[in-house]
Amino acid sequence: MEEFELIQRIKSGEQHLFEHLIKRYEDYVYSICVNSLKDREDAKDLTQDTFYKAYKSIKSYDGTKSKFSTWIYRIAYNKCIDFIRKQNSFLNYKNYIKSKADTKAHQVHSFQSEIVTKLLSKLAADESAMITLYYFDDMSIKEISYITKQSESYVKVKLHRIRKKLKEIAKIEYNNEL
Amino acid sequence: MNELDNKLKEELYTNVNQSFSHETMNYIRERERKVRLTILLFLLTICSVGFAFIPFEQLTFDNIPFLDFTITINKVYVVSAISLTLIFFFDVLLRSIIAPKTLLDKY
Repeated sequence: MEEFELIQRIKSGEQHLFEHLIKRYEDYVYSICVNSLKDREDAKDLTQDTFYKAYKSIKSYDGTKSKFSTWIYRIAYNKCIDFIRKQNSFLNYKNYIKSKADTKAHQVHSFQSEIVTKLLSKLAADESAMITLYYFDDMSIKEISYITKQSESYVKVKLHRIRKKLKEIAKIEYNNEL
Repeated sequence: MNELDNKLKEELYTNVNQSFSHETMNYIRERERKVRLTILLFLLTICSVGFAFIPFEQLTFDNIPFLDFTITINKVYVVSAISLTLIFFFDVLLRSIIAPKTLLDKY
């Protein structure tokens, strides 16, 4: 079934079809959350919250303004930022990430995963989310700027800086392996 | 840098377990149910509090044409009927707000 038709049918009352949309985007939304929060359990909860929010406000989704994927990534991104802000009111973000990195929930499966985990742990939540969007879904700068509510030039510069930062960290930490 | 890009491309993508979509749908349904229950409890509380302020003990209908007897309805039954009507009314109203264009729109 085409995505447009699927959304129209959900809008017209066939809410059970929303499960198909979840199936389509669950991995992407989860990836954004897990890379931003660095914790699988929190990411899972936030992914469910993202879909709940999307379910509640699917009526307001306008297909002419953005793709559904962009729209739902925007919800996920905002959820992550809000979550981190709430965490910040209790403890420092870096401490939060460190505590999460130490838990068994965030297991490292391979050397490559370890590299990426370590690199991401050096980034702030919005930076991790941005770099995730940039890499895994061939997203354009325009789409990322829509999701993050920042100007296109800001996103370009920010991405450049993040990649430079990652490169430097990778050089220092894994000079021989990369 | 290319190697780093490739590593990031491969590793940033994370899969969820197969039953995740089903679990999420259950989670959505559960939250919807909680919202409805909260509203229901809220209305019931209003009705219970309002009960004490109802200015009659019973409703009496006499002089009904063609009937030689008097109908007396206790306050409890009157309040129960009003409460149920209110709850059904708001339930239908909220369902139509939460999920408009349901069956009503199809027919």
